Amino acid sequence: MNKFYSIRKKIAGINGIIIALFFLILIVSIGSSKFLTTTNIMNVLRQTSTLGIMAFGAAFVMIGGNIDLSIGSILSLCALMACKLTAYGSAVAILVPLAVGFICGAFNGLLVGKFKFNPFITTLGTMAIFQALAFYYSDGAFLNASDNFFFSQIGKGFVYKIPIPVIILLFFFLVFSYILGKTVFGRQVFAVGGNPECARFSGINNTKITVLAFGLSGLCAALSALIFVSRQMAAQPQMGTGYEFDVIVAIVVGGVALSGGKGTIWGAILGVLFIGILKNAFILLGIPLNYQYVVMGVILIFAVGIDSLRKEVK
Amino acid sequence: MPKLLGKFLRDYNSLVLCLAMLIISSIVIPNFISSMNMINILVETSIIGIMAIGMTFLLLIGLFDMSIGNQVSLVSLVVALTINFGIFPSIILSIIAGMLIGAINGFITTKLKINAFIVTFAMLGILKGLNLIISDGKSIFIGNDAFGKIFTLNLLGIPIVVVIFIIMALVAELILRYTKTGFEIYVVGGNIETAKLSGVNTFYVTMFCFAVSSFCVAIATILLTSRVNTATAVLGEKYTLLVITACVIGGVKFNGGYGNIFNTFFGVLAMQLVNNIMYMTNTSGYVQSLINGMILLIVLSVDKFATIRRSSVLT
Repeated sequence: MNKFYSIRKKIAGINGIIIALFFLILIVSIGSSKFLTTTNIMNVLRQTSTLGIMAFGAAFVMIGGNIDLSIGSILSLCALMACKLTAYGSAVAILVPLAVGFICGAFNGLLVGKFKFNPFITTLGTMAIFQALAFYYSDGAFLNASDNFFFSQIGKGFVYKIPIPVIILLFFFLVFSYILGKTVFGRQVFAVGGNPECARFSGINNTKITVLAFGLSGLCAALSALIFVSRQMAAQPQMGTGYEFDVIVAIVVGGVALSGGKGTIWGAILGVLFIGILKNAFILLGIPLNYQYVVMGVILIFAVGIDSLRKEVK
Repeated sequence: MPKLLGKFLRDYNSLVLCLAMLIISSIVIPNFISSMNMINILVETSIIGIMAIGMTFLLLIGLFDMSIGNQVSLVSLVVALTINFGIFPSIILSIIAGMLIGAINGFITTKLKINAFIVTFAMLGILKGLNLIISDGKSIFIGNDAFGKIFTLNLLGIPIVVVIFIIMALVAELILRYTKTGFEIYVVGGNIETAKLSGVNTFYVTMFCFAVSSFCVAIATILLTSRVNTATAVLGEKYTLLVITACVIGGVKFNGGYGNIFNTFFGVLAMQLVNNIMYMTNTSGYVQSLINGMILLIVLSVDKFATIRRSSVLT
């Protein structure tokens, strides 16, 4: 009985998104016979893998009580670097962008955590900075990656008909679930997001946690960039623009609280699936893609609105 | 005397910054002080300045609008769609459209009690979609000569946009200083709970600030659209960052309750001077956008350290 209660309590936080996901799948599968085919499902999963990995990092930042608007620009910058560095071998092309992504994120974290800048304004500024760096790095042009078998397998390869990006997504899902749920760092992120003062008095180094959370977010953006580049073997300076919107909508829909201190990686991945299926539905049902911004904006307000109304009732 | 000087520097640092930049660049850069360039700077300042007036109102009550860039695009598209009804109906309709967005933002923020950042962030997405739907991704040419002439009008040689900016800035400063609403804005920005307890209608104040912001954006956009004579879905995207940077240079605080129109004006001017200097010295476009992004962070840190020093002196 006790165990049953704890499971119910665990599900309670994300039941909204499960119901929403269920109805979305129901509607789309009625609307289009192509939706529930293996090819399409694999396709959706493959396309959401990049969004999903970014969402994990962004979830850490948001649970820590902040927000990161610059991940789209970090993605562009890292993708361009990966593209250029494929000439020096796979290891360089993978490790350097990851390091740059982490540094970009940690820079945000330092400004927000150490100097207490407003996270919205700061990351709005760094978004412009990283975007400008991306333009500067590529001189505003498209870059093509050089042929490199190992590198190209990250995005294009299959293991027993399962795309490698999906395997990467699952791997990081497990890793980040563990980090957020079971490690000291993960619990400290919750503590800092829930009540920074309280966390400080219980001996947590708030600055360190914020820097690491933002760094993780940058790292995840760089990882997505690698998958992107490996899939397309090309990059351009604006490829990440607008991605932060998708990511934030996904994790908010997935039950990560904007005020911090609440959320799960489970919820984040369900939110990402919701957005992925929604985008897929637009294509399958033949609705012009421009409507997706409108729908996602409304969903964002709706999700946050329900959350805040629920709090009020309590 | 040093104390007085310190106070002057602190309260009017954007003015001092502007003067310093003006003096240095007029010596170093040839043609900088030419009347043509000066008018150019003033015109650019005015367009962003009009938007910054509205943003100052929002920042004063501790809120912020992320969607103004996309509001610019939407209003310009509304102008393009309605220009056939005549100039005045078109202007009125586009102002109504802009203020409607502000009203929706304000209503959701206050009634659903959602963080204004997120509301306007969602609105950014909604407007981006709407703009793309309306324009179908194309740029729409406004084939109306009379509308295009609005921007070229002038009063005693001063471009109309500058005149409008100055009038709006004066009215805004008067509202903030001498009306009940203006006083209430500072009270709400200082501490919203105190404001509620002392009987301030915070719903009205918030709606008022959002309305002013969107009204200012609409006016600036009509002038901008008249200047470029085309409307596109991406016309305004850069303005969000520029306007917020201008307000920050002008010393408006994000927590609300601190700032005024006078300083915002010099904030905008300072930012435009930097941009003009970069333009006059043939700085590459990428470096320009990099510097524009960095200004925001630099000003934030200078502001932070100044505050820390001041508070450490006090304690």
